[in-house]
Amino acid sequence: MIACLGIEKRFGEKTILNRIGFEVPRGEVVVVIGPSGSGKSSLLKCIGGLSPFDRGLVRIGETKIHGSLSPEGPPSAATLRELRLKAGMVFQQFHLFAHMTVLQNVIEAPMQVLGLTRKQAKRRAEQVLMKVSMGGLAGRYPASLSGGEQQRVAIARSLAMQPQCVLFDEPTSALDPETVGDVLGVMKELAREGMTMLVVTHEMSFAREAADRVLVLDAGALIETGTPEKIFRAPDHERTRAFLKRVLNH
Amino acid sequence: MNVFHSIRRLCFRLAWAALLLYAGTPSPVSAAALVYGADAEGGAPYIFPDPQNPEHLIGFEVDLAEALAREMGRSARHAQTDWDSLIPSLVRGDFDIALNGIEWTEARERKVALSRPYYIYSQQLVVRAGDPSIQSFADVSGKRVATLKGTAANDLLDETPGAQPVLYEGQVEPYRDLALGRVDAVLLDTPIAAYYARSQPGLRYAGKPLAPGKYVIAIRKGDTALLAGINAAIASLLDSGELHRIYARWGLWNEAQRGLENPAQAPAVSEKSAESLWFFLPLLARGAWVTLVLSLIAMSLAITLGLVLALMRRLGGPLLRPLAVGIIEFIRGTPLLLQLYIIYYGLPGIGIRLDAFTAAVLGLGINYAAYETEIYRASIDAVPHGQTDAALSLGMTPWLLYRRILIPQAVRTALPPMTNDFIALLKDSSLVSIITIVELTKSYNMLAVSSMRFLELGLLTAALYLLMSFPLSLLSSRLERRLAPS
Repeated sequence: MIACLGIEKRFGEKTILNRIGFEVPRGEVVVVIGPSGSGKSSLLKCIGGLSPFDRGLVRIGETKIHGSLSPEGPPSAATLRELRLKAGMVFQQFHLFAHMTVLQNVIEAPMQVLGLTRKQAKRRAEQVLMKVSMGGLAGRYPASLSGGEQQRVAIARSLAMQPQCVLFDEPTSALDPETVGDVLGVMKELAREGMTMLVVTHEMSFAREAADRVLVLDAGALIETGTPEKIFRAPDHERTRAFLKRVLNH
Repeated sequence: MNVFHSIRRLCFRLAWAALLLYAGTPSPVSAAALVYGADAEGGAPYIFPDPQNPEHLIGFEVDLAEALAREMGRSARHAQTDWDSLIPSLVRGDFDIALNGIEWTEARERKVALSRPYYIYSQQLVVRAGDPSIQSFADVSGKRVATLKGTAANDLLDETPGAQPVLYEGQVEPYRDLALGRVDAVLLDTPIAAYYARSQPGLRYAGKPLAPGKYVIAIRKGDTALLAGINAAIASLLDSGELHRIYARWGLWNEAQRGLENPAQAPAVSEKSAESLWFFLPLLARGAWVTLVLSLIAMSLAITLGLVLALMRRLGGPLLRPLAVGIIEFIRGTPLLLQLYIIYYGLPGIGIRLDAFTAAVLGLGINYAAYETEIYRASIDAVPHGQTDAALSLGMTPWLLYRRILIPQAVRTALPPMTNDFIALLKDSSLVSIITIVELTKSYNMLAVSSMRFLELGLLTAALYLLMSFPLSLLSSRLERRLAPS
């Protein structure tokens, strides 16, 4: 479903991503962990088509984008949009449209981008809002919701576009501890339903319970990959061990 | 024919322009009426609003214009134009003749056709009654001498060694400043001195009139039939004694006018008006209406055009983007006054003849569009970047992103500075009087100068401006609250 091949991104002298390659087969949940600044979020933005990269390629379904310095050259605007439509994105800071209600946030893109009628879009919105247990708050504005509620609406908004996979960029990092559980619950439910997911997170419990595979990023490079069991019990890499020791002792 | 009519005509044109943004109305010159351009602002005793009845213009030149028209079997109609702009306005075809104390000069003779003289004027030096240091024009060396910009008196002072000319736009202010001690003397045409200074207690004539010259009527070159008609009419008025009667009525007849008769008594026209202030309100309100309509249309244009420029700058390709930047920098870097002059007087040179109202709307609208663009840009930048990421990840095109996500959120940030700009535009609209539009400030000027009630009328005018701008501030804060996410 998702495939990365030799993704390379530099910013001046600094290497942000160093020849990263992996695949996420359909229906799998892959969790990306690693110290802050290791390039996790940059990787996700490249895959989601929101940030350019220099070399390598990202493929989602049949849609491919190449690095801007690769022989194939940067993707066209149309290809980028095609890619973005296939990959839903959920952001650390939710990024709900502040001037729209919950319902308007969810029906906006289905109507404007997919061309659904208002009625079709509302029916779809009711389903996805129900799924994230936000059906009762459809008329509220984002500013009046808690972080956890906003993040669940953001998940619903991306699901309403019926993407082939969803990319989560530290979805619980900006939340109050008491609302983290609700959001993780929604994500686990999605995983059970067979959604293909790529999740950058610091929630090791989610990685343990829901992930099929875990990727460990360090300094822009993919240093280790394996089942959660293997990564958490017997990691190969010394730096993985050090990182896990730091986060698990908290 | 009078201010009322010209404002009515203007309002009618306003309606046209408002409905159609109609460009290039036909010239107001009609075959039936003899349209004469003259500046009624501070124009006594030539042409000015009657202090007893400010809707009517009076003056010896109003009488002359009507007498001339009668001789020619036509009616006379006044077209308000700044004195400075009379000749260019005549040339561009705003009226048939320019009749407003235009002195015969060689330079003018080169530009337009000039009639035979209808009045012989001289320069009269006026000083404070209590100042013995100036007894005649020979004493002006080292003195500050006030006069009107661009007149023969102006030229005379420039050629007089030691004199320090102080130039004014209106003929009332020099005498006021003389009485206030801001200048030492005033040198102006005899009709002006006769009207403003002869009867004013604190002032006196210093020496005899000097440097006589001729007032003539300006006509477009090539309009030979009209020139002949005007010349014949002047001759006929002179023969019948009608000219004498008109000048006598205004206290302007003197030996110099072919030495026919003795000057009549001092001018009977009083410059003080006993009318109630409310009497002026409808006239000012008409000016305010012009200001309001003009500002509303200009601001709508600025808002729309500003958005186009902002989107060109943001989404435009390698051609549109620098074009937008160039336009914005040009407009912001040059004065509005200059832009208005170029649009109104300059564009006819390349065949684009806009009527005054359209030119004013365009000038103000384009000028403010450049500023609105910058407000939009800053407001769009103020929307958190995450909104863009979210919209793009949902597959929105840049156009959708701007239309549905960024602009609606930017409006709230943009509203207070835009209200500010609109209020500023409301006030800047007074600049368009230079292209002959009689709006609120111009109305005030004309009324205040003729009635000499600068303070009361000024406060009344200020109240009218506030009446227009304050509701805008209220509306803006209400809109802001409504647009705020609850």
